[in-house]
Amino acid sequence: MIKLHIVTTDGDDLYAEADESQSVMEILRDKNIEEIRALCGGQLSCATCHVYVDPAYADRLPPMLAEEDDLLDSSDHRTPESRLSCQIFCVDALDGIKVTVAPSD
Amino acid sequence: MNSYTAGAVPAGDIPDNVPIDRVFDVDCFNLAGIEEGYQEACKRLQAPGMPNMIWTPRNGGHWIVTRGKLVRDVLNSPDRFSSQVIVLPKEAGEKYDLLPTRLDPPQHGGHRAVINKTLNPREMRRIESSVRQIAIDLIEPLVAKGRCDFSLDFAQQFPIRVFMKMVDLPMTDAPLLKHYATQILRPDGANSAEMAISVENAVQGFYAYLEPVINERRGNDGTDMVSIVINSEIDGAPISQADALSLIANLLLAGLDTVVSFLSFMMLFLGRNPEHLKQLADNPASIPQSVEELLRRFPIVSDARMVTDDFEYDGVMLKRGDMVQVPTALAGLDEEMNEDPWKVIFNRKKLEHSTFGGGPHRCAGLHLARMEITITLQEWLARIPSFRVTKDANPIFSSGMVAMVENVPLEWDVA
Repeated sequence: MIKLHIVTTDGDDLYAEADESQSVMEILRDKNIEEIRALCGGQLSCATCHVYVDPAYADRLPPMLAEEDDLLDSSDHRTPESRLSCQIFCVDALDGIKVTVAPSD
Repeated sequence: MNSYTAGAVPAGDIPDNVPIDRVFDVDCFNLAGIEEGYQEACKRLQAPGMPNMIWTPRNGGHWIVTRGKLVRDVLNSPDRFSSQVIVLPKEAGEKYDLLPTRLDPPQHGGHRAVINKTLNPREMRRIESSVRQIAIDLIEPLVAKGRCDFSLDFAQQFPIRVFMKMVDLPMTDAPLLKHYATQILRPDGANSAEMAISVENAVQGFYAYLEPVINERRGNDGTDMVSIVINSEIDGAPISQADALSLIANLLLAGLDTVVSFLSFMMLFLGRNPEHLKQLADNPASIPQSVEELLRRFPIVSDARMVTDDFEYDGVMLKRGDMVQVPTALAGLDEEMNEDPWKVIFNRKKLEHSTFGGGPHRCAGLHLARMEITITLQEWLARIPSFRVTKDANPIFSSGMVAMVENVPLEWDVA
């Protein structure tokens, strides 16, 4: 189990616990965060689970696949901290990770 | 459900590398049990006891993978399973030279990037309201009638109108283009040679139609898909005439057929399952998230790959040039990938499917497809929230590279 720190688009702080069988997207979806529409259900094909990951965790994230890069390119809100949260599983190395929900496109 | 029997084919038809216990008499253009439904007929290939990889002497002779994990693996392994030929029978498939479909990495990437430019989510947001209006214009005249053939009156109209608008071509040309698309995906012909001729004629017909359109738009600053493609660069050089023709023909082909089929399967299901229909009609906000489950449950595409070398796979020796059919239905409907795969459960926590294929050739139009499906449900249910398939309905299913259902008569109470 790891702890997650979630910052909503309104700036509210939420906290959650999750294990490595779960993606960050699933945690955000369970919290009913409106921007996390997660239309494709976690199959890396829709770009509706966009988050900004605290740079302190950048080197512990899985590498970005070309498909993820392409999908993020089609967002109007991409930054260097952008990731699709369905691609980030809650492994031990990410304990305490802070993710900020990106605005909807 | 009947199952297939191993070895029930004439012995002379079987190549040396194919063990007899892998041989089954499967005609992918006329699947056994197709009258019950396409996905049901496909699922027979996955019946208990069927090997993961089978071979059929039909349609030029080819392998078929029967489990979701192999569907994924083949699509994700272009180094071993090439897209040089993707259409069965192989003899006909060799006439199908559309880009970027037939390219493998790394040549595929540059062409694919051009296609992605026209179909990415940002582009979809740009056209969403005009797509929605096309749907509304088709549905409104139907409301007071109280009945329709959904396949004919909506499914066969909507994606084509959307596509003709995206490429900025007149609707009057749609029937001709639809004819070419059908002849490539489900070619006429009693044998491989005749089917090859049908495919070649259709591809040449496409090119003859497009050539003047391309010539006129080259160098213009149009924002339609054709203009974007022909004014693109590939690996730093302007796109060639031949490549532009091929790319655009492929865009038309894909846009004119697949969503037509999917929408018909979807509405046939909803018209027969009032409790599912009610869930969506009562809670329209749930529609966008429900579409993926329908995509999982109603896969329709089944193309092929060509083996690049001699190697062992799933315990059999594949020969360079062998064809492997990849029925995407056998991923989303595989119990090993999804629990209770026949059940439509709109709020599934986890779902997996290969309805859009996978690997480098995963459907470039998947964002457009999702948008068209979502808009269809939203606008239809806002006007016709309750409907049913008529009692005397006789839907006709067909299998091929893109499966189809025609005759989807729906009726509803008019206020």
